[in-house]
Amino acid sequence: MNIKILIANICILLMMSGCTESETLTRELPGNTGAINKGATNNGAVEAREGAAEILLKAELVYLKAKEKQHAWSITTRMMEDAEKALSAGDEKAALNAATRALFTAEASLAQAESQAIAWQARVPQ
Amino acid sequence: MKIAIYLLLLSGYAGQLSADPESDRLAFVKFYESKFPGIAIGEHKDGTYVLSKEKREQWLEMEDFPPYEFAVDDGEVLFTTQFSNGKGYADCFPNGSNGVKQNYPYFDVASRQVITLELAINNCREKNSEEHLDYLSDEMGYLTAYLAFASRGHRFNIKVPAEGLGAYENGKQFFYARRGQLDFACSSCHLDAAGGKLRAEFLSASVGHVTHWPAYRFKWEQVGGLHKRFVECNEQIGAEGLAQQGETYRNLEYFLTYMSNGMELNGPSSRK
Repeated sequence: MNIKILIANICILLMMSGCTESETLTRELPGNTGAINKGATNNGAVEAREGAAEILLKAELVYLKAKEKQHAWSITTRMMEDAEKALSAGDEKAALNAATRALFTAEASLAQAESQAIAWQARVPQ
Repeated sequence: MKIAIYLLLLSGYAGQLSADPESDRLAFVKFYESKFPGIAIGEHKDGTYVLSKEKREQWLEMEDFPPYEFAVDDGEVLFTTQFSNGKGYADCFPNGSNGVKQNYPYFDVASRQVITLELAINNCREKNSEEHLDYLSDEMGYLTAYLAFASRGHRFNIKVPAEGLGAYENGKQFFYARRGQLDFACSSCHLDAAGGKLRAEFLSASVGHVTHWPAYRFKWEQVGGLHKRFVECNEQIGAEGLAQQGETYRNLEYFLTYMSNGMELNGPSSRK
């Protein structure tokens, strides 16, 4: 068999097993959030130069994407509300803290939505 | 040879994507039969109270004076009260007093959506120029409690027509997809961990989940519907609950009810 075709076939097999890999890792532990945290990034949230308002805006946009996919987390809403209250009160430090957490959880929820678009299939009894 | 390998791989992958509902149901039932070999599948209609002798005894004692009794009585009064145009619910649900709930939810090919009993009640009201009932209202609880009571002993026989497969698959995906900050799927608790304990409570099996609704929950202090419980479940795992009687929860109910096909209705019920 041509070596290119062999490599292509191996790639396909790896891709397909990849669809179920994260499920295999988390199956025994229903509360395991490793798969989510792996997909979530915290980099956008910790850029100290950004102001709380900018981070909050980012969080709201990511939250809306997760909500559209019916995967929004309740903690994100609470963090966004906290950030807004702190901003209104002029407490930049508290606002930054809450907005950063809102963005982090929003990104995690979106990562969850994206991974679960396929991963759910591995849980169906056969 | 190459083509054969590709076809083999693709057919296996496609098989994972969609099985037919009846194959799904048989595998679902088989899973619980293996997990609970001492419990006949039909007994799961009692939910968590089939899993513990002590809890069952407590529950049966509660059922001596069922907390949903007044809801059933009030529901009958509402059901038999005429609308302002002289018609009534009986014009929409002609078998109301002889069992109707076992036919819900169903996929309505004309409107291309799942119709639950609650939605049908509001559709009936709209057809007769009455305002919709709030899905969380006492009136909705009373009406569905009465209709559930009048349907006791009947068995689910839900159909999934070709046009309804999308709704069924959507409900199935929702059931198995992890969500919320705790990263739980419905199936995490009620399939994988069914029979296990969360604090002092046993996790019920999903087969039979839909047979006993609506339920009087002591923490609610009222009779409430299945979708209210869906919202509560979602919020308990840190996810935002979805709209009561929205498309997604109706599809989830459709999937769950199909999984309980052949089981006896025993609603309304009482739960802690």
